[in-house]
Amino acid sequence: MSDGTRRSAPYATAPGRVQTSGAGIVLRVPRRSGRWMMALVLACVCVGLFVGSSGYSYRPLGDSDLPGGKTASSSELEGEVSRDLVSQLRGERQRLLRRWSNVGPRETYIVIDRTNNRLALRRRKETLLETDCSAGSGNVLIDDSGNRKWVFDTPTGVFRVRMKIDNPVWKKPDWAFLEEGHPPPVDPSDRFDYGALGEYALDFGDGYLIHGTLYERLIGRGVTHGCVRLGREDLRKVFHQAKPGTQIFIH
Amino acid sequence: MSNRSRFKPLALAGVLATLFGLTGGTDVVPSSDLAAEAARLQQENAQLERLLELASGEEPYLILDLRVGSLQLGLAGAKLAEYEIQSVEIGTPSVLFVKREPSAGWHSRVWNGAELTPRRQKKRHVIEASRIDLDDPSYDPPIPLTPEQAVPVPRRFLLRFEQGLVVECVADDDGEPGLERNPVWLSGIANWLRDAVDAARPSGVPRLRLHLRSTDAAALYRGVPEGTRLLVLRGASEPGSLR
Repeated sequence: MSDGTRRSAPYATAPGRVQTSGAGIVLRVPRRSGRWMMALVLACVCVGLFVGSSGYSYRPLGDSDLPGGKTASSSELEGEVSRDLVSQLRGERQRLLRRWSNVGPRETYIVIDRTNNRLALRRRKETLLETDCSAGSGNVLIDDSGNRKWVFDTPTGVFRVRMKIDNPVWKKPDWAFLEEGHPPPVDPSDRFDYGALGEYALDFGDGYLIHGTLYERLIGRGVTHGCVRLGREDLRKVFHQAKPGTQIFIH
Repeated sequence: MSNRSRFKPLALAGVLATLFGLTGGTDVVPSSDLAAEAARLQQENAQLERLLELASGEEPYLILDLRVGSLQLGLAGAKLAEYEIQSVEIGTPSVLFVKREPSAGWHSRVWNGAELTPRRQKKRHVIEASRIDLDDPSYDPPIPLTPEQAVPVPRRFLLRFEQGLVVECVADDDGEPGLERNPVWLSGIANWLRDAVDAARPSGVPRLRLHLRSTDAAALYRGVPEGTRLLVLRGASEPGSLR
């Protein structure tokens, strides 16, 4: 066998065999699993090196971290600033501040945090009430006989009070019966439930209400079918502060 | 020359100087005070414009007000919630020991499309109407969950914005009962990996780390809507915040 044949041999040899090179050095060809192991170790070393040497170094945020940005800095402006420019900028600022003062609700508004089950009543910068409420449970009800499905979430977005209702009467929808293990009634008069919604209700559209409850102990938990429940005293306050058109922000 | 006539030219010069001062706005004044004032006004106006842009949009937004140390959630100009910030840190990225300085003016823009990491997952009960039997004592109706039970909150979570800014929120104490207590080493490795990958991204944007009380961190995690926008307000702005 010539030397040339021997030198090319290790790459063609089955893994695990021992080969002797032309110079008499013993080479052990790693088994296939051994090669994988080596590749894995190498990959781990590379990842370790990358992860160990990359990332973020933190320091307290200071003014120097927030330079002027896209607007000109004072040094850039120096030498070309006239009093006209400054007064023009002041005028612009006044105009923007006037616009800003007209932004947002001008009257009392309601904020509902449906995940934390909190309700706030605010007027401008003042918080008039902040309390627990109950929003949608998030449960899913499946009616396998009618192929229907309901997801009991409170909707998000901006709404308005459409109607204020004293002593509301609940016209129970189909899911309310199915949830109690009964079929929906044929006679519509069997759907009316008196007193279940408390003393007052604020209708904010699509069948959603802010109302009271018979189960005050559950206030603060996600328990409703999409409406928002309040305790008796809180409901009174909210009801008397709100009027048709009052904005309701739900997030 | 009498005293009176000696002062006449001086008085005239004074009147002229005053008049010039009152009317003279067209010539260039190389005053650094004036330049600083103009720069400040420009920045404040730019911030006000961005605030107005946020308030007139349909998406919810966060305003990180560094002057008062607060993070406010707003929608259409209304304040939805406010979270107190204990401290803010800035993280500069480095890749393979090489530091990358953040691009200038990274903060003076509106960041869009916040995504929570890890994603908020609400537990839902699926109820089949045919299996409901309130008369059967073995039937076990689902018990309504508290917010802590419904949405567990990680001790550390990220708000990732579309253009690359990442705001890391860290709960500083254990007061909130709903905080998830994953094994430290496990979440530590995952965070380490994620940070390295983030730092290697070519956005040139630093990372912000907000330290909050655990109750505020939990309320933020549960309450912030996906797709929220963000504006960072610098120190000297007015109105500065929604309050």
